[in-house]
Amino acid sequence: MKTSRIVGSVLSVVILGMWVMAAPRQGTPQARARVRANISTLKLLRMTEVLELTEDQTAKLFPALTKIDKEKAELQRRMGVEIFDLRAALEKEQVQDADVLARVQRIRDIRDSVKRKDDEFDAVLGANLTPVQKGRYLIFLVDFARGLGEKLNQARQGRDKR
Amino acid sequence: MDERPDDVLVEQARRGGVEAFSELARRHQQRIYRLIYGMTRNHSDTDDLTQEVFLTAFKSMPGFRGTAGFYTWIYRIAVNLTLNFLRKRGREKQRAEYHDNLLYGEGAAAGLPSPEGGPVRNELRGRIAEAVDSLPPHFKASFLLVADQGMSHADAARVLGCSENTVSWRMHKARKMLQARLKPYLNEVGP
Amino acid sequence: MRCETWKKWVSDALDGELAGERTVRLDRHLKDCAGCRAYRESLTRLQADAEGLADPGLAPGDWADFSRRLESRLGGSVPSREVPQRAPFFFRRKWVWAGASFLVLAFIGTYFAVLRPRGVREPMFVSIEDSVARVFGEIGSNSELENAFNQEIMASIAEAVRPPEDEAPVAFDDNPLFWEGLSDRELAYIESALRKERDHGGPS
Repeated sequence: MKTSRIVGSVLSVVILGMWVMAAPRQGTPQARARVRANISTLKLLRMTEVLELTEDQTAKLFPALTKIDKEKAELQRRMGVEIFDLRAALEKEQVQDADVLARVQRIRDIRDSVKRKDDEFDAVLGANLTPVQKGRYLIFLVDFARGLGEKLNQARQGRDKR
Repeated sequence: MDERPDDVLVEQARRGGVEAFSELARRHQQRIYRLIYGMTRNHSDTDDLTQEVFLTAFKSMPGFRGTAGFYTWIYRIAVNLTLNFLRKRGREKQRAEYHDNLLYGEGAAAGLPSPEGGPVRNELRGRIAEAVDSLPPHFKASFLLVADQGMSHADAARVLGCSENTVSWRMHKARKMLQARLKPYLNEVGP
Repeated sequence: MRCETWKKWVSDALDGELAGERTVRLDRHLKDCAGCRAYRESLTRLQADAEGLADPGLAPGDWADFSRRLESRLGGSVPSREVPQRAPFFFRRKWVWAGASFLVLAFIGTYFAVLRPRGVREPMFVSIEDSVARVFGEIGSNSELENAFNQEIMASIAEAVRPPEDEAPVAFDDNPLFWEGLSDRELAYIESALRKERDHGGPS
């Protein structure tokens, strides 16, 4: 079965689910988490194409990378909730210092965990990519990061014209 | 024939010169119309959108700084307006109108091949039109700007507000999609 | 190098966008690879047959009529603001501009030579996570923009996943875990989509 079909099968499941839930309540941490998940999916799809992964590589990488992405998404969701709660705590009439410090520490810990997940992601790739693919991956990261900015501009232009 | 260079007309139009802007519009209207027609395949919508492009441009002229050329700027307005229009209308309605035009005669005036091409060639051209029409909007815009209007990847990127690399990939993917879809018809026509 | 990359080079070459050395390498590859050669031939034929497709086929009279209608609408339109005919005195004098430019350049030069804190290196490139954070920072609490951005991402995903026409469609139910993983809402959505497809002459 071709690599593209494996990728298509696995990701079509994810995408179908996403299309169904394509309109989460706007402005909520859940909505933000949904956008992050979609960005991760797009990143995986583009990465597969750019790196020209073999079937073997796809079979090894995808389960591990999808798992890491899922764990990272959960951490980011928790971070979103903690930040939301921190804002609420700071807006109270009587702000409790100990409470705020504890919240800040929790957010810092989650942020460190997110960074460790990124390192884990890079380590999995590093162990399974050829030197040429590693080079392409670096270039891909730059292009993908720039592409996000382009999409934000397109979203702005589309919204302004309405 | 008016021989004033574009940049003189632009400067006059920036100061509110309707006649200067009208001359600019006359110089560019066919290309803009052609681009929008390639995206919508409907004369009525194309007419409305092209008029809207130039009206929008005229109202925004005082703010036009000229960092991109007028040509690039007006194309950019055209692409954005058309993509927004298509997004609102939805591809299904657009397809239905295209097929209606094909059946009821607007297709005959719409640049489809003359009978001299022969029946097989005419069918291929119709299939190509349909295949291009079915491309996702951003791919279709890139394809029309580069393959039909003859823009370089750099110019198309400036119009579309994306990178040259993005235009290059979209052209490659658009061609792959077209080639896959049209393979049986390309083989039939022969070398 | 895989054929997929060579095919992209064929596409770039067709647009005149392939750099010199790559053109030589592509020509060499095409001599040996019948598949890529056939691909280039079909693209070349496609390009030739697609010429003039976007031609709207309007007569000169139609263009004249278009121009007349536009001019009458322009006559009723007012540009968003008036541009003054003559700039104030200060902005007309070139020496004022030259002096101001010199001062700005002098300040910039002094800053980089003397005042800028040293020992801080810019990162070589920005990580995806930083870019995502920057995008979300710009979106802020603008939920409409967030949704529009999400739609752009979803459109890109759909474009990336769209299978080439010459491959058989992906059979979702090949994966036994597929149906188990779906929620009731997702199942209802699939059911309604299949129903719509049947109504439009799709598979039963």
